[in-house]
Amino acid sequence: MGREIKKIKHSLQDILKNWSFRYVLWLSFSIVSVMITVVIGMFMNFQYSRRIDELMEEQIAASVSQASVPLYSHIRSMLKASDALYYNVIREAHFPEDSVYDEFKLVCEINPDTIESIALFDDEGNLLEASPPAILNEWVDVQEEEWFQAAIQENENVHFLDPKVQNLYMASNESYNWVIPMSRAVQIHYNDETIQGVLLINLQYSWIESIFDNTDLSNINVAILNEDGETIYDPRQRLVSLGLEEDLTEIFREQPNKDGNFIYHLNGKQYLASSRTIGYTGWKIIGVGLDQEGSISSVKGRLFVLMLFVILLTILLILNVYISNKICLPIQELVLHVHEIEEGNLDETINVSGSKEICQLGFAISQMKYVIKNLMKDIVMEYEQKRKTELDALQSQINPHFLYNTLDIIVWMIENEQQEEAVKVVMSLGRLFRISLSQGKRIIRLKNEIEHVTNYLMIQQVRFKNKFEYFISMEEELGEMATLKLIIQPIVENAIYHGMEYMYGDGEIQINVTQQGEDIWIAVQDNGPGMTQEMVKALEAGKVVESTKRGSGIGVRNVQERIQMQFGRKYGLFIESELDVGTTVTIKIPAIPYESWEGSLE
Amino acid sequence: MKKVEKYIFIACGVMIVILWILSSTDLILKEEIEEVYRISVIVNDSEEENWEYFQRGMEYAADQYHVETNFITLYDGISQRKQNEAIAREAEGDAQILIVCPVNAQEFQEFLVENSLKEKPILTLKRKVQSDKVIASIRSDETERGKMLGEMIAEDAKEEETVWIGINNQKQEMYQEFCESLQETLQSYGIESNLSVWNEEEELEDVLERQETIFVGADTDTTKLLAEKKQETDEEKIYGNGINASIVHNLENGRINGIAVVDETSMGCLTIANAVKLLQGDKITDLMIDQYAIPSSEVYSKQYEQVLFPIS
Repeated sequence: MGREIKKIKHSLQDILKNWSFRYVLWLSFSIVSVMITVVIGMFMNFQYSRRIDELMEEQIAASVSQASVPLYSHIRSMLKASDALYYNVIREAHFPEDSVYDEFKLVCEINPDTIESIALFDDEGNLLEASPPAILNEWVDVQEEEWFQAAIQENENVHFLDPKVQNLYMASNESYNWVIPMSRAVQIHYNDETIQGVLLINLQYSWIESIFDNTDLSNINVAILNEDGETIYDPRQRLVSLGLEEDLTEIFREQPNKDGNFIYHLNGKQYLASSRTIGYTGWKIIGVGLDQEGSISSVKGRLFVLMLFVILLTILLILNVYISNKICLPIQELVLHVHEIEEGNLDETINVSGSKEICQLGFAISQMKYVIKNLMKDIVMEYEQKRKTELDALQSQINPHFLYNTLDIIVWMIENEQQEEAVKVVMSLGRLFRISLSQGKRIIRLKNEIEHVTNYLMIQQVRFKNKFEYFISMEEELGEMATLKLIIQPIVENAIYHGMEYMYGDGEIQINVTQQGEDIWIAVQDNGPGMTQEMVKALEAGKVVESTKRGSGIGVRNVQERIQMQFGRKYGLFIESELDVGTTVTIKIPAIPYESWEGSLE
Repeated sequence: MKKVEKYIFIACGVMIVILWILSSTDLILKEEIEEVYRISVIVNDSEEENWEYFQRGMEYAADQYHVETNFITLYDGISQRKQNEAIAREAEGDAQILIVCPVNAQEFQEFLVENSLKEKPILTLKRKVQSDKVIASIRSDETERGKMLGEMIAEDAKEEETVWIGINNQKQEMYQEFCESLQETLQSYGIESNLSVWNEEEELEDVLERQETIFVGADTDTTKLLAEKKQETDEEKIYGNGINASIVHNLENGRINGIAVVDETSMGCLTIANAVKLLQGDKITDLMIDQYAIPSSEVYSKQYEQVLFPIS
């Protein structure tokens, strides 16, 4: 069991890994909503069913009560009439001299809708008085009549007998009415004797029908049964006897003492029943109604309630979407920010709305981002510093080299007593150093760099006794572009030492500065002996060339490294050379106005 | 996941619409409306009183099953032609089903062949008619009833008593089987019988003066007339076939010694109930109604109470 639960737990965790937080939240809310709705729905359904049954039971009980009240009231009236006739009329009369016809007639006239006839019989079944006047039917033996025997045998009670066709008297016309005999034993003064007699009041059967006609019996079947479960009144009786309808009173026939409200089943249907005993008679008035549970209106009612629950559920699901969005969107926003940070975008502003915790989290991430940004800035600065140090180190490699060469020239000139030229060279050297210093700047204007190289060329021209001519061409506006300082001079130096040393007045060094697109190309061209391709490749690769001649490529490599370190690897030196033709070294730097550089990298 | 949510909301919407249609409209679930059926009953009699008991049962069932009935007698003379006219008229009307007690079964059958009667279904009373239009018949066993009455007469009859059987000419065809069965039964008991067919009431003026001592009315008209003509001093015994208030009254006061009777109230009730079943689409079959031979002495017997004195 525990293993199974663990397995399910793991499976659930695996599933949850693939689901978004928002979906998990929505699904959880929705499951809870559905469960609550289902539980409430089931409870409501139960209550609804119970209420329908209760209403039906109440309706049946009310109908039974509604019918039983007038029935009971009429029966009490008849008992009172019977008592009045007996105690006030019959007991006071002396038969056969006295007549009670008028009193009988009066009672009949007072109750025209209830009483069919009143008759008084002696103990031998002889008719003493009757209202309306009637002749006994010769076919009928009064003493054998049930009502007569009941009154004689139980002379202290009033007896209500089962309905029957009125057959006691000869019918004056062809109509035969149904009556309910009500009989009681009476003491009669007859010829100075007191004998037992029977007072018979025939109640009209139609009187019972009229009571039910005035009762609301929609969807309810009512009947009156006697204490033995036999039918006194049942409008469906003939349909039942012909097999056209079910006998809904069967349960009462089988259990005559069953009373109150209850539910019973008959032929797969559920019925609600109510019964009430009518005092004095032993009769039971019953009402039976088909349980409305399965009726169309009941089903429609349930479906309507179900529809309301589905609407409620839909509203809850929409609310769940809203709530889960409200909770999760700030988190998702936060996740996006984190992704941005992951990708290195530290300038993203983190604005997180939502709950307190989410805001705190956003604030924390924001703080973290600033810390990272500062750290990175520090790292970059540190790197920049390091790079600058490296550049400075490279640059410092040039200065002694150049100074060595220049001093070499000046020494040579002084040795050859060329003082004027030496002065010129020294002056040029001074200007050269002034530009070299450039207040410690690494980036200078291109025109200054050109001026620097011009001074240098002038010095070298003196040194080489005009073995070569030099030409410099540059558009004036390019002079305001920025460049690393001292990048042309080493190239020119190499052109002089490797290309012009052995020329005899026909050497040429040409410097052309041009702009091509976003780049500036500085080409230093000489007509010296040129280099082999292997040497060209070695120089481009930054290798130090072992040579017996002056220069080993250190200057070229320094320029190359400095340019690439400053501007990137797409910039640098490009060497083209052909033996006995000459060499062209082209410097490629980006065309950036000096103003925009000034202060940015320095 | 948004897709799943979309599907769930679509499903909820569809469910709400379906539930609304089911719960608040009659498009799918229809409330059962108690339809009032219209049924015409055309009988082979000019006297409504002969159908009084049938009508009681009919009206009772009509009340229970919400049926509007139109009971038609042949006031203008009893003939199949007159009845056919009445049937055709009712068929043209709004009656949904026709219940016919034919004057002459053969002629009625021929009428059905020639007339469509708007294809309205027909139930026949007391007679079986072979026709596609006739769905079923509600009748009694005439032969059996004749036998039942014959046996009752034979039980009461003294030696060498003879029986006169009278029948209205207009109903002779209808009660032919009954009369034949009655005569055969009487003959089987060695009782002689004469069947007399009358056309006018005057023909029965001196009928009780005849030599026979037992008189049988093979139809309600004859039975009623015989009872009316019997004097209190007369010793002739009268028996009858059929039921009406007058016959029951005379049975109760002893003028009529016994009757063979069909439970007409039940017949009326079952006729309407079956017609309703048919209109509701149920299948119905021929029905045979209970019948009894009731002697005068048994008139108040519990067994016959609902046959002779049905609660109205």
